[in-house]
Amino acid sequence: MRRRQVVALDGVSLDVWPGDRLGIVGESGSGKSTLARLLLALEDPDEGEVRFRGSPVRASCRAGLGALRRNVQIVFQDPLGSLDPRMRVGASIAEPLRSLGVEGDRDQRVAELLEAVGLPPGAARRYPHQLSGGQRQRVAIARALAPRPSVLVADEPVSSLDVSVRAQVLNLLDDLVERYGLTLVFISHDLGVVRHVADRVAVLYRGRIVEEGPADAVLGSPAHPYTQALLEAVPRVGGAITAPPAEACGRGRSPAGEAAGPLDGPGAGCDYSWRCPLAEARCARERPVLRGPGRPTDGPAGEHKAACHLAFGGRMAP
Amino acid sequence: MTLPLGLRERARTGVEVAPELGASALGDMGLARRFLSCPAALIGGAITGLLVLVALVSLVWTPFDPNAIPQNVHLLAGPSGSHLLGTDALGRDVLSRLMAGSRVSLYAGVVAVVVASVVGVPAGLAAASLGGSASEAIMRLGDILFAFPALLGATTLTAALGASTTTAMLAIGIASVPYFARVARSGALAVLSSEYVLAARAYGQSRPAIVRRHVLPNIAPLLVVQTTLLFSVAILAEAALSYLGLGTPPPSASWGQMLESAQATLQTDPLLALWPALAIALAVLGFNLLGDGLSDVLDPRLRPVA
Repeated sequence: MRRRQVVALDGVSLDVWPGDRLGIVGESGSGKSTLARLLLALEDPDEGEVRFRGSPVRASCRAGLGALRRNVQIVFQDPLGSLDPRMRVGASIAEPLRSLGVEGDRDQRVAELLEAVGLPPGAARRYPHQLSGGQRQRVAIARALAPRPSVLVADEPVSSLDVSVRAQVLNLLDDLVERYGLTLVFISHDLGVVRHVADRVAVLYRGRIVEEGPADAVLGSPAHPYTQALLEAVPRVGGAITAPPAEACGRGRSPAGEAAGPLDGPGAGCDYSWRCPLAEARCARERPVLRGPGRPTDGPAGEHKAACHLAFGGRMAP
Repeated sequence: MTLPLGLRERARTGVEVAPELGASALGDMGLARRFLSCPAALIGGAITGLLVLVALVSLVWTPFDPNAIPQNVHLLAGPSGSHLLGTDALGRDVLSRLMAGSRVSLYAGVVAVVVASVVGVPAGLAAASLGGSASEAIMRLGDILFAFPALLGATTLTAALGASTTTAMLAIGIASVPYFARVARSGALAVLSSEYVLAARAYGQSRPAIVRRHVLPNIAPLLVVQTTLLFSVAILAEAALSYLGLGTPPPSASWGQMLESAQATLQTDPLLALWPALAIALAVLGFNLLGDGLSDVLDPRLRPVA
């Protein structure tokens, strides 16, 4: 069988500082989940490295992982799939304590965690299939919090939930991050959800960060045409439906016959140029670097940056 | 007295329902309920239960000594008050021999299952969790074993170790190793690719711990089904090998061997062959039904992926 190599993530450089609430946004296939797995050292990158508190971590080297395993935990999208169907909820929550050798009364800690995520103590005796989707996700959150991590990675934590319970779980997550002073990495395709929990946002497109910065700036005045397109795609209630600008109708149009197809691998130019309504000849030739409006190199940590030739001035709308 | 269904269930099982969680506290006993509502499992369970009961009873009591050749007894007597199923060519009581034979059949199943699972399950688990070329090596070894005729294996082992039930079932057990390895591997692969295993890795669970705490409990239903089915295969194989003289040696009563000795008088006393044949058919049917039923009853969500 021949396999095609797809680079899931390329040239992604991200810093997460203690206390950050970083949202990572992207469509399906943009490399979000790969990024989550790399952050947790569940997989090793082919190139590059993941550092935790300054020291590199590798999935293949268990010795150096202790601090990461204790401090970084994950909540997955599908709570039914992320809880062992044959384990009672209490046992599932106690698993990390057992595995990491956390001292103390496990039953008491489980009860404490159940309370923290808003479940009755009796839930410990249930099996996952006896709970609702929202309750299951609460259990998954409790399990992630069990070893008292400092970083929580949430990979689409509310996407599989009913809209009616989504807000509850989101608020719970918000409260818990606040209460325990957690650093949050929140991965989602849903900009509305990210806006709700994140202070800082990075937008992934086909394995690269195309825009990064404070949530207000990125979501309020997006600099990259891809982010703009994403924001336009968010359904809004109440607003009038406006016709898209004439340019936007040229989606997929190839400027000067230089477009690259979606899976043609890394071309020379901007990955988005083949879809971009604003693309110029230069976009297909030269790959733009992620940079802020000011200096050409990395600006201060929180700066609004975009990987687009036309961002911040030029022909971009502000 | 009629109670609403929910109450009746609660009264019967004593499961307390936490009102705040509502839903299905009855899920705890769902297994028993599903078993009882599955005809195949129920009938299969009844037949195998009967078989086990007969085997246990035969340990302490049979109408006559199943193996001793009695004096002053009608040979090849038809069914009568004292010999319910008659006597065989040596004057031994057929019912007693049938009862004693059930023990041999069950013993055969146990030996085959123990051999097949003790070798096959760890091999399958190792293949699934190691992956790569180690997995390839283990599974190709299994394929070779799979391609090797079980009868030839049994003949060879008998030549080396002498004919006995244990030798015959050793051969059947070895021949069944690949089945157990495959089932264990495919079940384990499904579990290992799940997000709860990913989560377990994120909190530092070691690979052996993941296999022990997550994989084994989740593939147990598959193995139970496989075990039940192997019992029926083993009973049939024991009968066939004993018939061929490769299994249980005389004078111990074994259904296959009873069939073989009845062959000589088949023309005059066909009933003598009928009883062991019926016993074999019934036992095989029972274990097959039980296996099929259990595979429906136990976790229908988790089926082998490959």
